[in-house]
Amino acid sequence: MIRIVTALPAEARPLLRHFGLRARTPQGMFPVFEGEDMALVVCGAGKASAAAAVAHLHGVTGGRADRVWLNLGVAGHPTHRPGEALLAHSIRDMATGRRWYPPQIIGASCPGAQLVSVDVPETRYPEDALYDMEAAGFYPTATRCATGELVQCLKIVSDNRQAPPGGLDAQAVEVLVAGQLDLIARLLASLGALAREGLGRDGLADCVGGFIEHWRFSVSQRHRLERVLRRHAALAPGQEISWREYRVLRRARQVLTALEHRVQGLAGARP
Amino acid sequence: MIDLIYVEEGLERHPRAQAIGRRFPGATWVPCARYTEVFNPKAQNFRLQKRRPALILARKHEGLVLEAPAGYGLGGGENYYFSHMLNCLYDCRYCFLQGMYRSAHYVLFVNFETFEQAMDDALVRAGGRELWFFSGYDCDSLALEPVSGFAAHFLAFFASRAQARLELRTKSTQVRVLLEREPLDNVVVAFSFTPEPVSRALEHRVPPVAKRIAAMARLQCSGWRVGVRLDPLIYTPDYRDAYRRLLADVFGALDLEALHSVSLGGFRLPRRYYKTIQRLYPEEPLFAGPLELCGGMVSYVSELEQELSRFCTRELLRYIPQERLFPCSEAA
Repeated sequence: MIRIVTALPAEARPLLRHFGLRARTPQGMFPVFEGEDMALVVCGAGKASAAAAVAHLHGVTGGRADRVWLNLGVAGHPTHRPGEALLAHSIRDMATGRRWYPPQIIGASCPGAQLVSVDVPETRYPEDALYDMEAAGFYPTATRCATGELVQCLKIVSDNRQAPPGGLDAQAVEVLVAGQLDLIARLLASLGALAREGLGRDGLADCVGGFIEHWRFSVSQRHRLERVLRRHAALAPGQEISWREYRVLRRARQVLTALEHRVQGLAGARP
Repeated sequence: MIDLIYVEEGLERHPRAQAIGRRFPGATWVPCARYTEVFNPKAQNFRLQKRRPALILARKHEGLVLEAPAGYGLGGGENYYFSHMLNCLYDCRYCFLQGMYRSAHYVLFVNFETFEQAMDDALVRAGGRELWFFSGYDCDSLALEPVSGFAAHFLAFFASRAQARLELRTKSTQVRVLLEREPLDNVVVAFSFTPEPVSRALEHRVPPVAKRIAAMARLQCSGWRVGVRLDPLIYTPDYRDAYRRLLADVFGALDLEALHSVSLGGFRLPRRYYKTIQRLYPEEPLFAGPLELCGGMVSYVSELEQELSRFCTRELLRYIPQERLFPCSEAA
């Protein structure tokens, strides 16, 4: 359910250890790591790479829409201290001026900040904002895979006006990310709960599956089947409906008619 | 209540924005060029956002005052509607806003004076004719009053324009702003109701029916003109008893001689909104009920809708004369 995109291997390593993620083989366009209910891709620097990595990860992990997407990495900020974590409440692509506003639905687990995505590293920090190189590629692509509430960018400050990025090496990046693992885990847990509560909650797949294994439904009949089973679930919550109740019927059409008749009765159409 | 406020660039120093800032000192302010950047993107989920909506402070540039659809009115003059806000504090499952907007954030248009100018323009065009202005189409008129100051501002405007009529439509009990001033003869405060069991099931975060009735009665006692809105009518197997009880409670608390109007309308949603809302709330029994698609609108099957409407009309006429009853009809 969780999809994480980092730019650097050093940003990924603490997460791989903490969440027990293993490399997926064979390796495709990007290195992908997987664990129970979580996958991570290392995209390299830049927004084009980030966009491509999101698409790659979405494809190789099944392409479902009810996923949490997190862009995690280090970023510069004029004043915040190295090690502080900030959640982006707005993202701007410096090159194009385009802006996005990730909806902030979960309670604030850390302060929010504007995030500016630049094409070359920014060391003057002209605005009161985070500076990274991936979010403007990550966010618009990830929101093609999931609703914006589940797509977030968490940045850990690595450099500022007093501490320029010159001395930053892979080991220092690992330390910065490792220092925020508890916060990252809490954020992912909250987003995961949001995804479970708000999306994919009608759980019809198993029920529908039983019917389509035993009768041949056309595409339009399958849509009718889903509609009628969904209506049944809404009108009689907690009451299971099984294909076995209809096994004496030979054709999908007869099954649909019987189901629709049953649900019509539940709906109470008569005044 | 509000911990994230998006503000259109240039509005940060607007007096209403600053007053809201003082009310929510801990809120994070996020600048945006236009509210549509935040409100309109596709990848948003109304249901998820309803858990924690943000406030968006914006300017309305066009379409400030619009002609009301045919069948929407109280029998007199020309009818207009206007929306100082988009979206509502409440979470009524039958509400069309869930299907119309992608975002559940509250958009508050702070340029009240531009709305007033548009109303004055309409009044000039009307010559001496009476014009009705309906508030509460895209939001509840009073629910966010302590934050918006909307009613306090517009009551002063309508106080000096006898030719203009204002309807404030609400499910709120936020009536202090009205009780604190002299009543206006050209303003009607219209309260929407469904029977208490329906309200508990479908009108989330809305004050209980009894409290709304009490607020309405208080207003009427202080001289304000009040109206009752039974829109939408909601079917339940025991709807006859439920609506009889509701009408007895509502009209038992009011001076019927002084009651301004009652309107009623069936549950209906444009097909596109219905499909969106059903996707958001697949487990909601309301959308699995005896509904049909007719003329692009989803409503109760016609036999049921007519029965509901006939029954409620009959019951209403036991309390009020025909001339104060206004059925709301899309086809009218």
